Amino acid sequence: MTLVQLGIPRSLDLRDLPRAEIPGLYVHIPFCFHKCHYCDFYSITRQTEERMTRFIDLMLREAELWRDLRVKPKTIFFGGGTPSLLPLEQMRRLIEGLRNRFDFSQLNEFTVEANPATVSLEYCQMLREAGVDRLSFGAQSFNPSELSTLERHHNPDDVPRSVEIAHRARFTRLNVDLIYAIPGQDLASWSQSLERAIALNTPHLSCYGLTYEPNTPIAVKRRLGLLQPAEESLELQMLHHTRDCLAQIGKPAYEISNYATFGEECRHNLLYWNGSSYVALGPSASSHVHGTRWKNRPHLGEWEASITAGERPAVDIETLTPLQRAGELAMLQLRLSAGLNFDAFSTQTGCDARTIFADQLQRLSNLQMIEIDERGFRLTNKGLNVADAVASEFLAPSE
Amino acid sequence: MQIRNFSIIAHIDHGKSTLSDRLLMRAGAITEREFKEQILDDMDLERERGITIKASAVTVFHEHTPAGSTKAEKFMLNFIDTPGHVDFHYEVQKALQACEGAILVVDSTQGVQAQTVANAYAAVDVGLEIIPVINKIDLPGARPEVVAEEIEQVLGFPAEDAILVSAKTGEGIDELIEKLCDILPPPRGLPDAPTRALIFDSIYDDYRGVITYVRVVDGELRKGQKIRFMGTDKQYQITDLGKLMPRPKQVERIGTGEVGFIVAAIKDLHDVRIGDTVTDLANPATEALPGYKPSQQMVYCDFYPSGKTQYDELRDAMDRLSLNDSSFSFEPESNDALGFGFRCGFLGLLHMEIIQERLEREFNIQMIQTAPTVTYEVKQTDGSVFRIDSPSELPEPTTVEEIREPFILMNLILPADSVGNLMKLCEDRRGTYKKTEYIGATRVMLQYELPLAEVIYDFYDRLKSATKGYGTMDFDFIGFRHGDLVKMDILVNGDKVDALSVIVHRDHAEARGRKLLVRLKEEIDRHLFEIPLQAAIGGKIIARETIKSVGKNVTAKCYGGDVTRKRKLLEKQKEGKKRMKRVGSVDIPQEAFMAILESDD
Ligand SMILES: Nc1nc2c(ncn2[C@@H]2O[C@H](COP(=O)(O)OP(=O)(O)OP(=O)(O)O)[C@@H](O)[C@H]2O)c(=O)[nH]1
Ligand code: SF4
Ligand SMILES: [Mg+2]
Repeated sequence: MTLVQLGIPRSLDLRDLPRAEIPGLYVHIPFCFHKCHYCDFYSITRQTEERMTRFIDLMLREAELWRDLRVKPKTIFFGGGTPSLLPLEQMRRLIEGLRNRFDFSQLNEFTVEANPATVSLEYCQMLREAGVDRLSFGAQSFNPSELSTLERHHNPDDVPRSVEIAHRARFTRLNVDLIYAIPGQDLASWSQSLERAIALNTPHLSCYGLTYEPNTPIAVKRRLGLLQPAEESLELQMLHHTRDCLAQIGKPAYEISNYATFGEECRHNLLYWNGSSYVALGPSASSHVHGTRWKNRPHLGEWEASITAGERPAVDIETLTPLQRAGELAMLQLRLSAGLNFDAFSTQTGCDARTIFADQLQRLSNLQMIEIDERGFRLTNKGLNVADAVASEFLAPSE
Repeated sequence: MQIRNFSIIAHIDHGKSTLSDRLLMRAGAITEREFKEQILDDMDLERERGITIKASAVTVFHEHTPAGSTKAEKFMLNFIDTPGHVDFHYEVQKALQACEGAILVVDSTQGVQAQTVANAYAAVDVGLEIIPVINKIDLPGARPEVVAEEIEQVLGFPAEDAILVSAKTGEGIDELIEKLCDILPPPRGLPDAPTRALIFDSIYDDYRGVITYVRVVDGELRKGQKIRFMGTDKQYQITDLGKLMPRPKQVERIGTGEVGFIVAAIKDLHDVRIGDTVTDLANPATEALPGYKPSQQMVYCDFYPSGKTQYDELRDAMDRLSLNDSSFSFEPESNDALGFGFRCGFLGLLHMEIIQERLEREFNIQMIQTAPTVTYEVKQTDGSVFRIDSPSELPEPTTVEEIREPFILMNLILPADSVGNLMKLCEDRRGTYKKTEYIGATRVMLQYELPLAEVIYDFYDRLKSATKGYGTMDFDFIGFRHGDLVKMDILVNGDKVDALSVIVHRDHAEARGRKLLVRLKEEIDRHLFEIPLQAAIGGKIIARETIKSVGKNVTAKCYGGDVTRKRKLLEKQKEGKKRMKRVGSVDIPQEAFMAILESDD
């Protein structure tokens, strides 16, 4: 039994990691206004100005702890939680502090997630000036009763208002998040939400089928029979309807749940899906550096304690074998509409996908789950419905 | 010195072992504390289940003044406690042939039961003197007079001859011992004839090798004697002789009519055949003793290693176990779906369960077991006849003239008001009615001939529930009979899965097939493709089901940068498949192979 399995953090020796540059930086802001009922991201809802101020201090100290890694971000993503909940001054201090600690010279995308209920013009302008060029709004639905099923506390009209504010602050790269297959939602009501989101004319849309994560209130309600999840067939109908709709208006899916005008894809998320390296700051955030993955301590208090002690808060450190890495990359790239590219794959992993996955490719293409050509392979429409099952076929057997 | 040899026989749980222990205690061979600990049942499992599995022979001495005499004499009492469960009937028969008498124990609260009858008949068959004993008279529900009447009515022993005892309190034990000495005949062997000793049991001991239990019929056995086993023609020299009193005690000789054990540097239990005759090497007997019919294996199933257990470990464990239990057999077997394992034969279902439990418990073995089947006799068109114990051995239908299946004669003893239910059950199971007899006013003995295959699944449970627990059963193998039997194959995604094939009666095939497919459908997960399940006889499909393909299995979220989480989730989905066997491209969980076991008609 290894230490990792025992949950004892093996200390992470940065000298063991390859020295290549790390192009991604993720920053987790674990504060929310209120906990949404479907959410299992790590966030807390009771925070004071002092706590948030101290949090920024610690964030910047954490950034220092990773300085030995060659973090040279091409993309930055502030997620959460609700990053826009940070007071304006603190947000500015965080961004400037990071700029002083990392080399931002290559930066070409900087996204911040924002709550449509609370953004102000002043806040948006500050972000824009600080170098942020992309905002992501959690709209989820435009139907008040669906929003209340999700326990989302904003008004449907907050979303167009926020988009409007963002435009005024000179943001063009905007995303709106939507959720479908909400209990009680039918295809018509989903279409309406989708239409309203389309009308905002943001270059990027994310549409997620509602996932019942274990131990979230919504999953408990489902278990208790208090709400009825959408039928599988309805959910699939919604998925395909969305894809068709958005493809028609020039925003085709580039990932299972993500849609964008050509060139407007979220570059940060593409790093994840293409197996690139990124370092993440903040409690519960996950990093990946050239085949080694770890997670920051998942609770604010524990994370604070580590940082205060001058220790990197990494736990669950795991270095993947080349075969595991290959399997994982296939799993990730299958989510992309472009699929897996044979040449890029072999450059990245040193493995020929056609050889190591010969069995899977044969079987899955016979079942018409994937289509293969000389460039690579990708999910078919049929395969999309069972994408997880298809992806799992590529994972190396554990142990 | 006088000698008395007897067995203690009864229906299961009527108190044989307790009575044996009581006799030991009465003779001073064990203490009160040892009495409480059931010392004759020495296997862990025996004690836990509270049943006797193997017969064991012990010797005690007793001072007794024979009826009509005034002088006390020393009596050597050799007795054998026997198992009561029908599966171990063979053990009882071995014991009976080593004796001149038997104590037939009947529980005074339960009365005559199926194995009471079966065991009493078995004792009469080999010409034993029988002393009926009514036990547990200390219990409030005891009805000794009624039970004595039943014994007279069903078995023909005069009611007034029955001795009333409580093995638990010791009441009536003295009277029983007096009777044993007075009524049971002494052994009738010839002390001066060449040695003949009947081997009635053997066990394997890690230190001393095989220990052979014998009853000396003629002549004697001495330490150091050179002996020959007449059947196997093997020669040995006796290194040790002993008796169980009940602890092993060395002796210099075992005389005519006595029982004891031989240690003779025998390494393999298979070199000792139960029922064989031991004779003197230099001065051999001309004729062997009649011996026993070999034990009959009635039920077969496959064991396959699973989990952490490797094939070799399973084989070693079974090797070791068979040293102790010669009535269980195994042969290598392999199968597309389950890999390499063993085909095993058992005396009955309880025996199968016990072997499985001992393998798991004593040897830490993990395994899967296929559904039990019986042996069939196959007559081919060319006139040849052979036996098969696995559906996969059945030849092509075109070369088979007839399939015969084992039949049994079933004796059921039940409350009169459940006769209707039981007759219905027996008819459903293709039984042929033989007769009904009343036992007292409220109970009935029902006799049916039934195919064994219809009994091995759940007949006993059915009987118990139909009679609120009061019914008991016993059966005897009566021979192979023609049956309209067919092999039903199961096809999963078009591939025949041997381990799922069964031999069934043609009239029941369709219903059985349908049920089986429904169970399989529950056990096999949905795959990326549709999986047809079919039951077929020859090439003809008689039932079908379909496992629909996975409809939706896509999570929208990818958990941001937490790729590990996503991977672990998918790995977990996949992990479940590891304990499955892949047939063609379908993953079949182990439980599916047991699905055939459950018939819930
Ligand atoms: N009250 C009472 N209980 C008894 C008496 N004799 C046996 N028992 C109980 O009856 C149960 C069965 O006794 P066993 O001696 O194990 O019966 P058995 O006939 O050897 O059983 P198998 O070997 O399994 O066939 C035990 O719980 C005993 O304690 C008795 O005289 N009085
Ligand atoms: S705002 Fe976002 S992070 Fe916070 S609880 Fe709601 S869904 Fe979760
Ligand atoms: Mg017993």
